[in-house]
Amino acid sequence: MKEVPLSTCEKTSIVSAIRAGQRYDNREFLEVRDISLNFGKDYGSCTVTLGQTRVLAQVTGEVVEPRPSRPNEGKISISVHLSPMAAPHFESGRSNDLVDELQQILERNIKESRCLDLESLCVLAEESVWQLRVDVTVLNHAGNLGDACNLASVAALRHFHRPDVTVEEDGRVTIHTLEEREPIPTFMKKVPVCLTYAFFVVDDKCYMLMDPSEKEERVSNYFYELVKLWIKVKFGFMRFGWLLRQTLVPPTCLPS
Amino acid sequence: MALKSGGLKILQVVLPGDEVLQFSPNGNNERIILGPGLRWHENNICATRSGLLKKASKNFYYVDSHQKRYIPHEKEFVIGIILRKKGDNYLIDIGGNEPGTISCLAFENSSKKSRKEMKPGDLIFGQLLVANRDMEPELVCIDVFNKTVSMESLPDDGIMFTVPLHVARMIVNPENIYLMSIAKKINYTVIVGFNGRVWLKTEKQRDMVAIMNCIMMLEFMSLEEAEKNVFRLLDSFLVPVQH
Repeated sequence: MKEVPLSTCEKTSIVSAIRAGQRYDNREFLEVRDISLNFGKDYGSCTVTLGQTRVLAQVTGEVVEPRPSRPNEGKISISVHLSPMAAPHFESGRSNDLVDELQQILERNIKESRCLDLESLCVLAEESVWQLRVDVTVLNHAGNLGDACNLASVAALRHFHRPDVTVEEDGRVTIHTLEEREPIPTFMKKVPVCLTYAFFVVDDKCYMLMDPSEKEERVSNYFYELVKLWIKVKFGFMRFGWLLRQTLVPPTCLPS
Repeated sequence: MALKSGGLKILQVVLPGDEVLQFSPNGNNERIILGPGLRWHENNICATRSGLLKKASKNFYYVDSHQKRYIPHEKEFVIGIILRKKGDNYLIDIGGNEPGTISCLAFENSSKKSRKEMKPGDLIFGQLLVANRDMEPELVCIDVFNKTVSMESLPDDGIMFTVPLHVARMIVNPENIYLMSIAKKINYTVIVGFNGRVWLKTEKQRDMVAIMNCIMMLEFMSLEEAEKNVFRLLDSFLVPVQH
């Protein structure tokens, strides 16, 4: 199914409500919706509810051969799935822009930020390392998927415990089951936190909204994603252009 | 549990596949009329949806279920969004599987010389003339006598939102005083489409958002709870937010 088009009435009413200082769900401009995290029975499974948006992340691990360029580092692979369950206009299988964007956000936040200590995932250098696979499934799309996916995958990674491993002298590797030995938690040096802001440019004034809902996302002029890494304060900016007009965001409204 | 509300009885909760009753037509003029959600198969009447089994009159049964996706039916009033102009027709999105069409002449006082001009993104409230699963739905904005009867294109300065279908049916029901009780506090104009889209207009922006949230609350509340709480809800939304 195609996405339901946004009528002129909806666009003007959201913008005039924001000019009057009100959001549709009566939140403050910088208020986030209620967040709840539910962890599953298995290690590494986490469902995040951000208002009506729901995302499920599952982390699984297996022992594989390492990359030849980095023989003593483990691997992480992240994949995002959008199905028609999340919204009627999503088509599973066909790669669309949103999937690429979410994948880009997660890879930048988790892989490039080096928040996970990959060397601790090594079992036997040059022979076997752990590969962690994060599968993120969007269950319901009601705005701000970037934050929700990031939260779900980080929580699932921190919840994940990998099975204990013993390496014999002759090089044999035994992976113990969860009953035999206590599994080992993953260690995260820094925790990436993702915050999304939507900007509305009305009458030369710029309004900044935090955690936009689905309609606010579609109507907004610009989107900013701020990634803050806890403990080591480091800012990363990523700008997605939903340009309704070709004007640049005035410098007065860039967050400090 | 049998509740009465103007001749409507709620019989039981059913799940798809539940057998409701056995019925075999045996010639002595006994008739049962099956509404949406029920199916007669090999002398059994089964439910095909989950919801409440209701009995409307002496022999009319149906299943009332929660549904968000709209399936177009003839003679229903819907709010559509104009997608683009296609020849002499406009292509309209009514929330169903296919976009519907409306002819440029299907408005009051329009002729070949003076046509109604509408842009993509405009809202229109009309009635479905043709809506079966094999054809594209068709809308009109006039009735049989060529009069408008309050069907028209809606101005841009209201607010439009989507509610589940059962909420739209609930508030349109004339026995339902929910919309009237909101009207005691605020004056407003509302147009409800059977495809779940509702259009509202008041004088103040804040009132529109307040009434919108009150109507959307009906999705999760029963009617009795909503009627008790409606003034409290309105007051909480009308409190000005500090910035």
